[in-house]
Amino acid sequence: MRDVAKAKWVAQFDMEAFVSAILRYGTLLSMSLVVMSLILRFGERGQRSPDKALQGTNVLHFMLEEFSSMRSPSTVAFGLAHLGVATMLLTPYVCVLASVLYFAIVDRSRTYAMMTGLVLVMLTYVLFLG
Amino acid sequence: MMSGGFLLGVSILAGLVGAVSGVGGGVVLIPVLTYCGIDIKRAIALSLLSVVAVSNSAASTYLRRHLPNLKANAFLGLFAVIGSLVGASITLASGRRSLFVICGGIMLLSGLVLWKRRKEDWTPSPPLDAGSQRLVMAGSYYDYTEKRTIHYRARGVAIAGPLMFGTGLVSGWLGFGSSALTVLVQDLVMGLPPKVSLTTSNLVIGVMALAGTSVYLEAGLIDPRLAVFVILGVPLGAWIGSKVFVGLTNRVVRIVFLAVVIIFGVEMIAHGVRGV
Repeated sequence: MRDVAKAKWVAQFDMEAFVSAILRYGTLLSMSLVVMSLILRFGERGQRSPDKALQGTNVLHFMLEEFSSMRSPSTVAFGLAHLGVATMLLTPYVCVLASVLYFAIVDRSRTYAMMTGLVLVMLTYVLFLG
Repeated sequence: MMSGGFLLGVSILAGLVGAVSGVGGGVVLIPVLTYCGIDIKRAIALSLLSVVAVSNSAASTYLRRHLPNLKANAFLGLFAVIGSLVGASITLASGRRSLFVICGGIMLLSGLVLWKRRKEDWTPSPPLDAGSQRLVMAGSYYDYTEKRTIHYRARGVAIAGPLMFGTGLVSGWLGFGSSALTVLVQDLVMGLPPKVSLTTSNLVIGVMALAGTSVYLEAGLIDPRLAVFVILGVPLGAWIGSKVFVGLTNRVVRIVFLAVVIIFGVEMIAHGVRGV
């Protein structure tokens, strides 16, 4: 009975719709963070844009630095803008992760699971460890 | 420094053009930003960010309509990311000028092929080669303009893989132009319908640009004062563009792409000749 339900779920699973949702919500979150940053910045100094350099050894280091620097209200605007950029960049990464799981578990295609897995490993190294 | 409102408008246009042509926002952003006095490296960094933004926004719409092929995306993405990382690690600037000219030349030649085919409708691929049969890159989508389901199968994957490595190399080394090459590989080598090529390209270039962006992030070349407007404008333009795209015929899609290929080709040759 459980196997039948599982097979039905696998047959009905719409991967395109799932990846589409990841991309849509990732983009909306990124845009929301940037809008909040602009509102805060505009209210604070009358300027509409952050002016701190966007730099880090990798995305992980960059995000951790932003979180730790968001202690005072004056730095929140910078942090939100930078997190908006990071969210935009990390959205495709989440899609690759979802693709690996889909090809490995739902589609059961070893070749494509390995292809997307390799891409995930390379992106993980570049974005978080490099 | 350009005004935020102006950059927001340009970003919306870049997103629109990028979504309809499948090549990201660089074709609009790089010339405008460099014309406004922004350093070429910073312009390329923002262009890569815009490619990710176009990819996220437009591919979201296309996937809901089942236009991109996820298996083709996985296959091409693998070669593209490896190429992009190799390209990004090449620090020698000496070969850039000639590579710009070569890529521009390839695009103009491909433009000639597309020009000859401009009046042709897409036709299914001839019998498959062994590699393509093994990878089973087949699919179908409902074409709203033709009001019928179009079935297709990819061919030529043995050539498409190495070509995508080269495309990724161009992305990492030169910073732009690779998105148009991605569409060309799918259209001319793999024989995918133009709508599938362009929408799958939208997915592939997002991951390819992401691999390249890390280098620019590390170098501090992504200017947040400009990035915020790109992040707001590009997805908005791409969303509008993706809605327009769905209503276009394969022939119109190919003509729009042809125009973009010519612009990219001329732009790359100009960069090569000027030596930037």
